[in-house]
Amino acid sequence: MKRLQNNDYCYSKKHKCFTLKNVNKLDCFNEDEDLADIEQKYSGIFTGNRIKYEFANTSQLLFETTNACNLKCEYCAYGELYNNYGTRERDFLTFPKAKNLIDFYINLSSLLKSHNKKLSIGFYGGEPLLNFKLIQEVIDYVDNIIPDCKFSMTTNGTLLNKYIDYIVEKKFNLLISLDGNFKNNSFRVYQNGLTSFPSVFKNIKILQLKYSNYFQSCVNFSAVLHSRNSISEIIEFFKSEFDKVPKISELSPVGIKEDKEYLYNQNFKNINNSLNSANNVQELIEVMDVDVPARRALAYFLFDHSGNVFKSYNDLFNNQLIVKFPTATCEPFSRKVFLSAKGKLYPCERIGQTLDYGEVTESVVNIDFESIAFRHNEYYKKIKSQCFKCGLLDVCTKCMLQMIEKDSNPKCKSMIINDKLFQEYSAFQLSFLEKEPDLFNHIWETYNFE
Amino acid sequence: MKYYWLYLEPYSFIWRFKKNGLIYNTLTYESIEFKNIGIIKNIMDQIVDIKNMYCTKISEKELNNNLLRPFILKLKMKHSGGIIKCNSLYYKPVFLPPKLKFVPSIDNNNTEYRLSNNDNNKRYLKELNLYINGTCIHNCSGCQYNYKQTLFCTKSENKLSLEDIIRFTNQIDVYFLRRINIIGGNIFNYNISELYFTLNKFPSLKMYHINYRNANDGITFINEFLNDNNRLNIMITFPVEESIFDSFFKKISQSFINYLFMVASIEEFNVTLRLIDKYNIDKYEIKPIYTGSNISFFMKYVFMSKNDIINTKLSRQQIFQKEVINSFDFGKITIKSDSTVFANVNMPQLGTINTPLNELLFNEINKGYSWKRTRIKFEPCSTCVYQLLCPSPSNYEIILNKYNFCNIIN
Repeated sequence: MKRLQNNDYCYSKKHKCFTLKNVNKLDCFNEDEDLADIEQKYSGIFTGNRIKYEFANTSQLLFETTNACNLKCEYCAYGELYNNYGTRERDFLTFPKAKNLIDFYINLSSLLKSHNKKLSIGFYGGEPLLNFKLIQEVIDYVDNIIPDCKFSMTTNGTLLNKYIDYIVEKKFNLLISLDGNFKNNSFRVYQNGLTSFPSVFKNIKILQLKYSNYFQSCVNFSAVLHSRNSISEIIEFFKSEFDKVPKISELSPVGIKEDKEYLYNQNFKNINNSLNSANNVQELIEVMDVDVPARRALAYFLFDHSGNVFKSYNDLFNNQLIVKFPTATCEPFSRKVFLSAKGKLYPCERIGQTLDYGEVTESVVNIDFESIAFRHNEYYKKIKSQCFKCGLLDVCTKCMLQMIEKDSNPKCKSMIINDKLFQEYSAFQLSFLEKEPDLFNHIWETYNFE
Repeated sequence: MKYYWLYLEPYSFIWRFKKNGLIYNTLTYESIEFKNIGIIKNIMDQIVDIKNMYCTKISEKELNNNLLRPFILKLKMKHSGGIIKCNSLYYKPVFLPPKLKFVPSIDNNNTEYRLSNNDNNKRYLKELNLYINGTCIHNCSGCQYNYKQTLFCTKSENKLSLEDIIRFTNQIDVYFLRRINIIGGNIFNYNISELYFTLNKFPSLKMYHINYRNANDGITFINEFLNDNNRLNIMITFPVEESIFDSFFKKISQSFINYLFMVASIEEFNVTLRLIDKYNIDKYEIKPIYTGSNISFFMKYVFMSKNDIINTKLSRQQIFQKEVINSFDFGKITIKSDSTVFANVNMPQLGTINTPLNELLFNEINKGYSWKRTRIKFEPCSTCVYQLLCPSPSNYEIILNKYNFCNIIN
């Protein structure tokens, strides 16, 4: 007989676990945490020294070699569909600025860096290869002073033919943006409107044939899903041409101009819908695995709400030893230090460029760790009252810096102030798990993302 | 035939070794011991099979089995599990088993590697023990073995230079450091006020340790320098010379002082109680000390009975902790007065005070023997169902060369 209904579950926020509703339930299961305990738990305060440690132990220095691009993709986050970015004036980062940042990092890290902590250097754009000279200068400079440094770059692939040998020699981790075959990729056009597919495809094929080992281990693809492609076509194209599975993302819904919404809606395609309408759904799911949105969402749900998942040994002590900060904002600079083409410093490339954390000039690095700490502590003060009312307080996935509005007050638009939405969300995820219980072990054994 | 779903609650652990089984409820702290044989074993095999999500189908016939039925009743009574009728219209319910997972970042697939190397490992340093010197004029009987059992003074010819201490402590991530212990020898033979001002920059607790026999040497320090963040631990070993105790006790303010009594016998324990009563001491600890000849005292008063163990109140997180780290040693580093560095003074040396701190911590996390010393790794605890309810292995186990401080497995 076909099963039709899912079981009802209840959740204990305090103890972080689910059980069936209406069965032999313990009184303490429904106890809430005291506000005083919550306040104590989230009483973390940054100091300048703490942020200095994070800077010295960062995982990546990311250079925006230029904000210029030789393509004019119709859905570009810096293009005509969107209005949530600063001016892009074809700035090019200069080597003296990049060198100053590297020197500053080396000085700090020589004292404060964790043993064996590896640094990677990333190049970002615009199209980073438009400023190849800087890339070469940076690598020449760090090659002798930062041992085992790894390099990475996201590129549109149009200029690969010019720099292929160098990229392979330096073992770049390369992420190439390509949406599939000729038709699939037709939103990715040059400034003059001509399609980029023939030249990009040719460049990638040269790379694949000439350096097959490198291609296999260091090259990945990123594809955007839209009205001119489908999950099935994308997977089929990359599998048959390159034996790769690309990262697939949807068009960004953030910051769309009001008068372009129709265009956005016309071009937008949902990953789930595209997947489910394919003739070979099961096959695609197996190939995409963690990148199937439903699986990824279930994994996040289990990581956040099972009470069994931790990020480090220290987290096993968190109630006794470590005070936390609300939201999922990274400790500034812990993941990366981003230097924009204009010479501004940021803890990430994904936050608004009005929120710079310092500046690198041709002669100095201007960064005041104490004032960054002060600024972060002020943001936390302002967001706390919202967080303490939110049903997702302990499992927030939002970055506070992406919530900052013009008046410098972070405002969360995803706040869940009642339990009803959370119940619906968890019921949905647990129902999915009821249908596919084998996924639990698969996620536990193989999924490794945060 | 009717069928039922038999399940365990996600806050209950189940451990089984051979014929022994134990279910422990981390919300009520109640446990259920069972014989892991016959039908119960078969059903529990199903329940713990990860694909079954802590839940399995049983028939009415099985439910009425005279071994299984009382077991299920116990599960229900103790809120550790239960049964519900199978309804063919419903999917099988899922219960998330308490299975620990660390989630590394997506760019590194090896969790252990990330925890050891890629994290900022200075964050793991929680407590620093500084044996600043070794000089002392007394000859206490346990001088050379007490400190191997718990943090305690010990004599030597050496001392740490203030410059070395400053250079070493400058490398510490102060945000994560909770406590610095300053111990000797007789710490009042050191330039203690200069050290005090050096360490005062750390927001963490500074605990100064002194043997009561040397307390008279530091009356000014005790009365003028101690505060909430700089406290004193006075260590007492037997036989106690009460005249000395009497002489310093009257001269010092008791506000920021803790007393540690090290007892090797029930007689010493009784004397301790008398002293506590006589001097009206309210902040004190009493710890056992193994002398090599008082195993019977340990067996009677220190070893745990099965009752002690199953009455332990542990949360799910605390049990996960015991699975992977040693809660006594984790996060602690000891620098001895000869500049050698240890994660545990009974284990091989990690380096010296001149070894970069990040390298010392890296060595311990990667190759060390202390921070990740769990009962799972040692016989006979490794096959005992109570292994994760017991405290982590302590120094006493090392000194006695006996890993089970209980009478459960001989």
